[in-house]
Amino acid sequence: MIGGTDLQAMTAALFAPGLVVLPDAVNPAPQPIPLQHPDHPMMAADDLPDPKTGCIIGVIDDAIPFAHERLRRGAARSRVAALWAMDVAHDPQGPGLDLPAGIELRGARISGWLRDLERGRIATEDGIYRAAGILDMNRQTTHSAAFAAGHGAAVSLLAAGFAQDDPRGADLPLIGVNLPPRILADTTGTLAPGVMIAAVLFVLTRARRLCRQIEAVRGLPANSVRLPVVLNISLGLTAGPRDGSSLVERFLDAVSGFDAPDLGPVRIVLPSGNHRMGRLRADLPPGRFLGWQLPPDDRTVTPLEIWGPPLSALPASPMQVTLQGPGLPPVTTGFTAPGQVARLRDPSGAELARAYYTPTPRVGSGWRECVTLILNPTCPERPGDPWLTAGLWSVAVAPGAQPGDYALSLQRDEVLRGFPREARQSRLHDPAYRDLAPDGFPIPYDPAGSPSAVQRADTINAYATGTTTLRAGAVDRLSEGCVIYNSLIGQRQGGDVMVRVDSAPFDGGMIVRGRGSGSFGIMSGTSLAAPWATRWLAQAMAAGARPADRAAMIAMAPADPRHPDPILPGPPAPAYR
Amino acid sequence: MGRKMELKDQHAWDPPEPMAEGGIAGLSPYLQDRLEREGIPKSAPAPLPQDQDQLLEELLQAAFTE
Repeated sequence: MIGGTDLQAMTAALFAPGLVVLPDAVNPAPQPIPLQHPDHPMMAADDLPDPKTGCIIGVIDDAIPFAHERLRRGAARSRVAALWAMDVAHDPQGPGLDLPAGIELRGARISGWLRDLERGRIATEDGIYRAAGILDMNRQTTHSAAFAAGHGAAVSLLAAGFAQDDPRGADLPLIGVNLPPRILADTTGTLAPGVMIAAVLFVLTRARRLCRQIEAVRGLPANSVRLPVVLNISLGLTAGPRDGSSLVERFLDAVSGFDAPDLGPVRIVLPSGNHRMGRLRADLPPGRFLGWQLPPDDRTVTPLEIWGPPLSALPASPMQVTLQGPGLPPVTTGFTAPGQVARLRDPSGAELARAYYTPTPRVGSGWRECVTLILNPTCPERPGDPWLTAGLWSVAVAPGAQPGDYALSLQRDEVLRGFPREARQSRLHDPAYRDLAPDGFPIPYDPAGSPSAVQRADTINAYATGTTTLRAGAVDRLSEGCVIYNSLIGQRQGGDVMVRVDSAPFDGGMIVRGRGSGSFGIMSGTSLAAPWATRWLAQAMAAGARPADRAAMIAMAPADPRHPDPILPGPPAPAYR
Repeated sequence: MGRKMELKDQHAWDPPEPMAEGGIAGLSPYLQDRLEREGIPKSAPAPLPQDQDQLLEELLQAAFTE
């Protein structure tokens, strides 16, 4: 049990630093830090947002380019209040001594580097990232902070980037978290929930500290400054309960519903997800087998979650799962109690797969059973490592389980551009499932009465099924229709609000800012819809809006009878595409 | 050369055993799996509470109290 409830204790427990960062990043002794440290102000006094018209934008992502000109007021005044770079060599002299790993950069320090840049003491923006320790080519990691046009640059600058002379930017400071490259590289996201919760804790504690600094500088009463926060998390999972009961979702809902005495309301924006057509999701009754195509040359584990129907109480006999390899007889687990792990072994005793039985309470009352299968790679990472035969496996919930549909979802398991990881995506296989119509166009929604267990419906980002978060989907600019990859809420809904991301149905991508000031790239996906929604919402809250819940946020968007899910204004159309 | 491990007709699930990392669905199965596979000791000073309501309460206190 945690001894205290302070940031350093909780983040250390959630974070498991040894798994996700290099050893030199680990803080050996996290400790409390003073509320206001004279040597480490969050922002210079002149750069603080207005206590009445400010709104803090939080971004949890990868390699946020904190020195970018769109995150400045004028040439050398940073709009970044705080940035936690989780996988950077720990600095025992820095301000983030309460963090389990990495470093914290604060706006006043960043402004100092920007002044050095203006005076020529630092030659280039790149030099700032090196001076800060963000970029260190001697560390054996993926140097995503050096990517010319990375995910974090696009997302953070869509959410919070403003021209240096744009007065809107002055009251919209950024608090960011650079997740470790190892978390981003692992597209299964299996270690991400704990790290993400730790990141949210950081944003909230620093947001409150920023409010206290404004009070101290302006001589205002304690807790009188309560800036709202809009937090963008352009991340997702493709597997989970999808009923709002996951720890991350319950935490995000609790944060959004908490009336803090010293901070304004917190609103959270997530992407809908990009895996409608991924064949990662199926519904299955007990006793029916479903194909599971395991690709060869996969050097990573393959996780599948199976969630049972809602139950009023835990059953006396746990659900069991049957797994069958190509040409082999089926084998069924023998769980006897919650919180168990079973290991599948071959005749030589080598471990081939694991199954975890973790029933979970529903929000409100009741339970759902869950079995998480984690299969070994189909290609050994090292000589002697056990591995599975690739091919068409099959999986079933064993007869005798509680009646009802069991929701199967595969975790994403791919390689991101720039991240050297040998993942291969497995897929669920039902011969009745069809991607394309006879005319060659994709079939966008599950046909009525389809016998296929594999489905497009209910593929929404598994972080985004709580009650309060705002889900942003993508439309293309030409047809203003939901893009084909956009994951679905229920049968057909692409998001609570939609954003123009792609150019046309068959011309994906939008122009986004790159890491260096003035650079750009072309990217696609609902990861880009979320920060545009964040930007829209933050400006509205800075202007005084206080939407109480998801419905109120949606109601703020312009209504258009042609589009059941409202499309937000902008972004501006590119001039040359 | 590495051994080729394939399922044969005698393959089977071991009798289940308690999870070392508790039973928080979506969190502890993956954490335990990775910790075991990579042989990395968990650096947390103590395990998280397994009761989600209690865990959420502690998380909210960490977020909004100092």
